Amino acid sequence: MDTFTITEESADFGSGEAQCVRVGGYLDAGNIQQFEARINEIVGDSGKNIIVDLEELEYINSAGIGVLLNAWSALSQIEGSLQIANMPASIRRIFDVLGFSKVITIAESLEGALANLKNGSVKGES
Amino acid sequence: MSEDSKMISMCVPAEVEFLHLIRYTVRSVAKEFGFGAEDAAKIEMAADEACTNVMLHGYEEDSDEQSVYVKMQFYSDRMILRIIDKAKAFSPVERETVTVEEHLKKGKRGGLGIYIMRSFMDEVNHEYSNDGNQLELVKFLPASESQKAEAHP
Repeated sequence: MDTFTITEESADFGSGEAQCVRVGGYLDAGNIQQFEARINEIVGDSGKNIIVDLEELEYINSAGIGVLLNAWSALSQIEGSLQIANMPASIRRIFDVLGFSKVITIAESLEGALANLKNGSVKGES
Repeated sequence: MSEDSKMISMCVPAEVEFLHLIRYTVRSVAKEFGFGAEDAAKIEMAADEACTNVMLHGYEEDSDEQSVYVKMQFYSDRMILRIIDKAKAFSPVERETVTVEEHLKKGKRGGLGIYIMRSFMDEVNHEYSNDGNQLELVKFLPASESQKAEAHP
């Protein structure tokens, strides 16, 4: 059965901690409300910096992309950050066409995302 | 002489639990007929967005008919994906599209799905009759880019 998974762990980036959120499976209209509720909960609880690891993600619909955009926007407003890491190539191409990567930092790896935080090179809301 | 084509069609309940079945079928069939992985993924996503609209916004709860018909017609140079329902009139073609940047700047919800359909497919057409809606999504095979330019200069 199609579903999604979310797991979390903290990671140190030298001058602080980030919450790494691993999202896997399929995100579509059948489970997007659960996904949105879970992401909002994580944003509310996690402090300021979130890295969303999409390595295990098989599919995401427009509403799922909207959830990530809204989370990014909410964190930007409190001078926090949301990055995407380990995005599968097939999903990356779709995000690129949509212009997603123009506004949100997409790191090749979790280590790369942590380095971005350390260097202060994460895109925020202007 | 009529143009040769092959048709594969499916009818599924208008329930979101069946979206994965539609996606899997559309993606697999698109690949079978010559689309690469990237184009097949785009067609899959456009189909998902179109069917999601029907399932979430199309039918009234007490409607006797609750089905989505997905017809995939293949010509030598293109695939025509038709999403057909017997619900109230709803035309994504007339809806405002919202880009990622607009979604963020204006805080608009919705509209990104329409943008995806328009961005990922070569043509998006809608017709409504007494029988319901027919959304037609056209994707040309990459080798037929020149034919596409000739057809739509």
